[in-house]
Amino acid sequence: MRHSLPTETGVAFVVAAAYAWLAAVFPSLRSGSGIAVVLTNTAEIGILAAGMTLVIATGGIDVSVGSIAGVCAIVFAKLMVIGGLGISTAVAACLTVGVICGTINGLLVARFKLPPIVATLAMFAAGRAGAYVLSAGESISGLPSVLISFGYGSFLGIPHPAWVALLALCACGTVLRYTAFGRGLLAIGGGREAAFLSGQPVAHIEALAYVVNGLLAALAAIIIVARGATAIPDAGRFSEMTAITAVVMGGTPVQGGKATMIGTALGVLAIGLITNGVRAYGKGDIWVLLVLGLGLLLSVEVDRWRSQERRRTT
Amino acid sequence: MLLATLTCLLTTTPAFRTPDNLAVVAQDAGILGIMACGEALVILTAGIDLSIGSTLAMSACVAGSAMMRGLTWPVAGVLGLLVGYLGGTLNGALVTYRRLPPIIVTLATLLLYRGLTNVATGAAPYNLLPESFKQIGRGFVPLGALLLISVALWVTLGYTRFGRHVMAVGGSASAARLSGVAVPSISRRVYALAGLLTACAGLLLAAANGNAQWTLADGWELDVIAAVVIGGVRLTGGEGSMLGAALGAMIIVILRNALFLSGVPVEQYGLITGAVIVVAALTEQWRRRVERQS
Amino acid sequence: MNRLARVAALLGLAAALLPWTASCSKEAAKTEARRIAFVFKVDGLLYSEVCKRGAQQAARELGIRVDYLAPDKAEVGKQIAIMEQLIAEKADAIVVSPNDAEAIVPVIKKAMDAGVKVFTWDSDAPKSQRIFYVAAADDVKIGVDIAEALAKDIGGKGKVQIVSGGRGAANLNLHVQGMEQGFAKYPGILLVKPYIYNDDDNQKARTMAVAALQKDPDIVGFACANSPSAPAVGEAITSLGKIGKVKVWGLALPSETRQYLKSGAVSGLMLWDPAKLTYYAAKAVNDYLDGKQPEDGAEVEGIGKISYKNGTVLIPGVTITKENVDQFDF
Repeated sequence: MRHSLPTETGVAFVVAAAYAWLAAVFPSLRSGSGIAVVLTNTAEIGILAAGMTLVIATGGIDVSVGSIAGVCAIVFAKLMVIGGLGISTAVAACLTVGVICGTINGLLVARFKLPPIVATLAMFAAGRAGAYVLSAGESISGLPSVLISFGYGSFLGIPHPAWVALLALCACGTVLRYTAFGRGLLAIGGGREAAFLSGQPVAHIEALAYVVNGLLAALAAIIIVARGATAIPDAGRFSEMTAITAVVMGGTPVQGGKATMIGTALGVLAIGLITNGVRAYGKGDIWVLLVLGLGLLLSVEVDRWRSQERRRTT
Repeated sequence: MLLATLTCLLTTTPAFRTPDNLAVVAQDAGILGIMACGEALVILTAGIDLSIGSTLAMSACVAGSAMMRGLTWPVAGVLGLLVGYLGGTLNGALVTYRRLPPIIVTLATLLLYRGLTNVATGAAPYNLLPESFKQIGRGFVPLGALLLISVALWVTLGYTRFGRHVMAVGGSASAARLSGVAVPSISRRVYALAGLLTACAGLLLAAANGNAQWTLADGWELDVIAAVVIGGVRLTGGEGSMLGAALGAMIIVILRNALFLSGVPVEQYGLITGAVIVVAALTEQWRRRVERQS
Repeated sequence: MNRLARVAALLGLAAALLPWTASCSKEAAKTEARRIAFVFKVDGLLYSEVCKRGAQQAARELGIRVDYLAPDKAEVGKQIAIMEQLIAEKADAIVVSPNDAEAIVPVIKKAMDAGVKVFTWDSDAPKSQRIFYVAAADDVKIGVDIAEALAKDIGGKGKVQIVSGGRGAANLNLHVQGMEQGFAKYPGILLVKPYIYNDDDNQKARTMAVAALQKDPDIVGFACANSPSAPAVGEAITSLGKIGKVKVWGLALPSETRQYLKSGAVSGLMLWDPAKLTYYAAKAVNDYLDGKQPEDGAEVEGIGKISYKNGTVLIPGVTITKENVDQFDF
């Protein structure tokens, strides 16, 4: 095993190659501000992908995070504008809503044993509808300007949204690697029966993964709102697919049982760089879809090749 | 459940009864139902196909552009079906030859097929379609097609070797392999068949709308999966029927129509759809548990 | 294993070197050329493709670099991301059609602070620091125009159904708001509630129109805010054999609606030429960067007479009906 390449090889290679290429062609990417843009623009996906890695580690999937982010964004803004609450209370309420949505997902999956895609598909529909009902379809603006200075500010040269994403990724990475909860997640993904027989509280651990995911979706919602000082009922729409793509590109298999947070972080960066590159070449985002589709196939292909290589060397 | 809803609607809502309304409901249900049958086939083998919406747009646009270039509609239709079949075959090949997870493969082809269709058509609509072609999407033709297809598939699944193999692969791929089923070849054919059925739905949809454009059926994969779930097909494979999938599609379409006719604001549709999905899935699970105990 | 590492390293090196060498010669020229970037609402729509044609024509004529960017879904967050990137790339000017008039404000400020000139076209962000707005009509006014045309067509009385796309699409909500204002002047007109929202889906647009006519058989007009709706409602009316009994006005492209205009299923469209609008916007922005303001009342070749008031440049719009639909190639 010592000789085998780490799981992240494929995606690390993509990130390095994409960066080398783009930095060579476009001078802006050689500057700190250019890199800061890539980090800022991927913050939302980074936060969502961190939680998604935990869910995918159990062999599950969560297609509802974008919708949860939508409803959380509206609750957050409504409490401040109409409820007149302070920012910290509104943040707490927003995170609570995320946790509630995540708990519903978790209960449906772990307690009622619904397939994760079905349970979260229902939340995908209901969450977005919740955002529309609460907001009557209109965006909510006029939020405190503190939010803007948070959304556009930076600390030590790194933009705030990127810090939040970094923290989320580090926290989830630590949880995954060094805690009993994290090992439990991987054990469930590796084999539910075996995890159960070895005394793991399977249902609790699995449900908690979705709860954490809901919480992170709410965190992402705060970042999204801060970027425009406006909450839009469509906030976070379709971001679940991008988050899943980042996780899989990073080398976490969808069957579960294995997971790498470093890989996820690199996957997020790869998507950020590809998107940045397509736009820098003056192409519309349809081309991002094409390149990402190919990149996704390529990365699973590399992963398969790598695991065969390992089988041969050990 | 479907019958109960239907009777209730027929008696209480006069607007539902009008022949014109029944015709669009039938049209919608036929198209969504054919897609659901294809999806159900894939799910029966424990796979999943997220790319069907994109495959539909791709094949409908190929058929549409062929018609606008002056080919007669049956020829153009066959071209469209061929494209759908090829799209499905590529999915199947990646899943079997390359042994990649179906959800990832079809997520990638969802992006690719949609993107390619946009780039190739320049977003232009193909809307000058021959009247004879548009006829196939009108009235009860799509529903008739759905009935034909679902019954044919039901017979195939129940009474042919291919059908038994499909169910076996979904039950347990390794057990199927040990008992001599050529698992990869079955999977490949299933994805190809799903592509073909989707293309078929695409032709009907283009005919019904009088327009083939790259945006057709965008995001419908989730509706279709919901239909399959409501129809009682187990997502982990091996259990479920074509008729169930077709009925699931009808329930979704009728529900949407009923919500609209009763003046429910559109914002709430998602809440209701979500609840229906959960209730249907829970009922199905409960039914299975009861069956196992008896 | 070693072989794998070597191959990977070589490939990486090649990938890194290729563009370095290729770019060295081009770079000098590239930094010189002026760059104007358009940021549209969403990529891939036919309307967007027609706008892009105008942008490209302007690039050729003016000899500058004009990019035409847009997110894959109509979402303001992604537009903010694109603008952030353009600021870092030091584009000379950004011309944006925001998905949300409020959420775009902070990033416009950031751009202006960084010395990137920002303009709006197609949709405005009136509370922002944008320099001027180029359009044929603002988002509310076009709704008013559609309402008035339809109201005249149905003789000022009867039930009217408003049709739109996504429930959360800010520009469509403004069109709808304009329609409400327009119809409010006609006491004989009753608006059917709830409005139809069809998610810009062809099929839903058509079937919901059919169902609406079953629910309220006395609907005499449809006012359509999003572009897939007018042709889809036209098809619905055709299939029900109600041409002439139900009137349709909307905002859509002639190429999508031509057959329905000719058959009478759709009475007319309120629009402008998106290619000309974008072409003119590029030119006006380029002039501004050269120090020339748009001139109120000026006659612009190929566009017509423009007006410039309160930071808004308006070019003439067109009403497209059966009679003139064949003059338009978009």
